[in-house]
Amino acid sequence: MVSARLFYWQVFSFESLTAIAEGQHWISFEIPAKRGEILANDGLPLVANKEAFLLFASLPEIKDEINKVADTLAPLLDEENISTMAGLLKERLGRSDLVWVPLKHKISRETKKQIESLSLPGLGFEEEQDRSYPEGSSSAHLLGFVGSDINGVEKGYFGLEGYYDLELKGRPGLLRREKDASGKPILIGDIEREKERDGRTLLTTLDRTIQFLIDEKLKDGLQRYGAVSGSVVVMEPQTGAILGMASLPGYDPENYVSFDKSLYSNPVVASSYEPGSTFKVLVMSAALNEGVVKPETRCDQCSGPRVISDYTIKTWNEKYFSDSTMTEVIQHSDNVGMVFVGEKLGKEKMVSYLEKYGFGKPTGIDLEDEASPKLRPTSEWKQIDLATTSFGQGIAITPIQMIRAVASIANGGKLVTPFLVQKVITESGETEIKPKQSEEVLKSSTTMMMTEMMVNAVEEGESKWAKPKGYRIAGKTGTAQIPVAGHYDKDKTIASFVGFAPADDPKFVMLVTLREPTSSPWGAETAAPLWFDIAKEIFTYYGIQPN
Amino acid sequence: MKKTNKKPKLISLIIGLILVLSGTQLVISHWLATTGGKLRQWEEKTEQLEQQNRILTEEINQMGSLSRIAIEAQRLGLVKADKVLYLTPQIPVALEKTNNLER
Repeated sequence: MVSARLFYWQVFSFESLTAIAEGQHWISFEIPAKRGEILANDGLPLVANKEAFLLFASLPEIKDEINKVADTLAPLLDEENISTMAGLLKERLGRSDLVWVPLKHKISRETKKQIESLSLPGLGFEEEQDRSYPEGSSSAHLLGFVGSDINGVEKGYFGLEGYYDLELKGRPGLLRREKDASGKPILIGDIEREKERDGRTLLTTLDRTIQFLIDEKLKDGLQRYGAVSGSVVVMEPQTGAILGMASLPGYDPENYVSFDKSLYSNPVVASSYEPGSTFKVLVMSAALNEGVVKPETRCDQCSGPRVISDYTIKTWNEKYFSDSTMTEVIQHSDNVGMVFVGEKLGKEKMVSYLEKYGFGKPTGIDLEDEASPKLRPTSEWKQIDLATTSFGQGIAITPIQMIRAVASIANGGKLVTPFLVQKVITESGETEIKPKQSEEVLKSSTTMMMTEMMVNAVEEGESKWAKPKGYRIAGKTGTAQIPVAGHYDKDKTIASFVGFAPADDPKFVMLVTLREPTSSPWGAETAAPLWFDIAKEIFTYYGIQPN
Repeated sequence: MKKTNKKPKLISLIIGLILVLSGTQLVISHWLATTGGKLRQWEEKTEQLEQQNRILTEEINQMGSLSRIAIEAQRLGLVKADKVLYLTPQIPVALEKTNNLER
C-alpha cells in the first residue's frame, strides 16, 4: 500500500507536487519593464510614465455582501457610468470558479487611497504603470496612445506609440528567490534573475513651444473661421524634421476610449484632400525646371475661360488677364493660366514630376497611420485630368505629402523624408537617427525663380493684407472644392495656405488647412491669416528680425 | 590504567565540540534570520524611495508643462507683448574710437 502510494506520488503526481514544493520554497516576482518615454527636442517629456494600480479581489476573503461592495466601489472607479461599473463589479465578484479577480486596471494613487480608507476586506492592489501626457492632448494625433491587445498585453496604437511600439515596450524580467516558511528571503538561498529590459526612450524633433503655439492658434482659428476641422504642420525644410503637427478636433490619449474611433488617426498623414491652388507652385516649378516656361513667359490663352472636353475652366473670381506672365499667373492664382502651363509641360512630364515629388507613395514618416492615395496610371490620363491637376483639383494627396513637396522649393530642390524621432535612448547609450538621404527634384535655379514668384504672390496676392510687415515670405493660398458623390459641393471648401520663411534662408515650411470654413470659403481670408498669425509668433520665438 | 583515563576526556571533547558547533549554528541561524528581515526592510525602503522619486518626477513633468505655465502666467497677470521691437545693433563707442585711431 505504502509502495503504491509512493509510486503514485513520484510518478503520476510528480509535476503538481514539484510545483507545490517550488511555490513553498520559491517566491517569484515579475519585474515589469518601464515603457520608454517620448521626449520633445528639449528633452522634456511629451509622454511619461506615472504610477497606477490594479485593484483586485481575493474572493474567499470578501466578507461583505457582494452587491454592497460593488455599489460602494463603483462611484470611485467610474464616476460617469456608475451603474455599468457596478454591474461589471457584481459580475466579477460573483464568480464562483475563480479565487482572484482583477477589478480595475490603472486606477490612480488618489482612488487607491479612497478605497483603502473604506477598509473593505478581500481587496488588494498591484502596482502598474500608466501613461501621462504633461502637455495634455495637444499632440494626441502625433503621439498615439497605449491600449491593450486581444491578450490584454499593453500595445501602442497610432502615431509614435504605434510605429515605435517594439522599441518603447521593453521586456519584463523575472526574479525567483528562496524563501523561508514565514515568507522572508533566505540570505544564502539561491536567487535567479532574468533582468528586465526597459523600453527605449525616443527623443523627437518636436519643439514644445511651436507645438503649443500651433495647437492654441488652430483652436482659435477653427472658432474664428467656423471650420469643421483643421491642421497645421511645421517642418524644417533642410532636413524634414517635424517641428510641430496639430490637428483638431482631437482626443485625449489618456482617456481615448471616451472618444469616437474616427478621431484616432492623424489627418496630416492619413487623410487625403484635393490641394487646390497650393498645388500650382509644384506644377509651375516642374514647368520651370523643364524649361517649358520662364517667369516672364506670357500666357496667350488667358483672356477668357477655356473649354476642354465638356468642361469649362474658369478663374476663381471670373476675372481674366490676357498675356499675363507666369509670375502673374501665380499671383492671381489663375486656373486658366495654369492649364496653359500644364499643357506646356505635357502628360508624361506631369506624371513624372508628381512621382518625383513623392505623390502616390508614403513619405516614409515614422508615424503608424500614414496612408497614400494612389496616382492615376499614365494611360488613364485624359486632357481634362492634365488641366485640372494643373490647378490642384482631381488629384488627392495628404498634407504631409504636400508640405514635403513644397519643402523641396524651400531647400534648393531636395525631396526630404519627414521624420519625428532623432535619437533612441537606452540605458547603454544613444542611437542617432540621421535624416534619410534626399533626392534632387528641382534645380537650384528653378527653386530661386519659384521662391520669387511665391514671394510676389504673398506681396501682391489676395492675402497681402494679413502678411507680417518687414518679412519676405514665400507662400500660396489654396481653396479646393470638396468632391461629394461624383461632383463638387458648391459651398464646402478646403482652405489652405502653404509657405516658408524667411524666403531667402527658410527656417520653417508650414501648411495650414481648414475644412469647410464658414466665415469665408477662401484660403486667402481664412488659412492665410492663420498662417501669418502663427508665423509672426515663430519669428519672435526664433528671433528672426524683419528686413 | 592510563589508557582507560583517556576515554572520558575524548568524550568530553566531542561533547564540547558538539556544543560549540550547535551554539555556532544557533548564532548563525539567528543572524541569518535577522539579516533576512533587515534585507526585506531595506528592500521596502528602496521601494519607498523609488516611489517618492516617481511621484516627484511626475510633479516636475506637470509643473514644467507649457499649458500649466500659460495658465499660471495668466493668473499672475502677465500679458503678451502686443508689439515686438528689434533694435539694430550699434558699434560700441569704445570700439568706434579704436577704429578711428587705427585709421
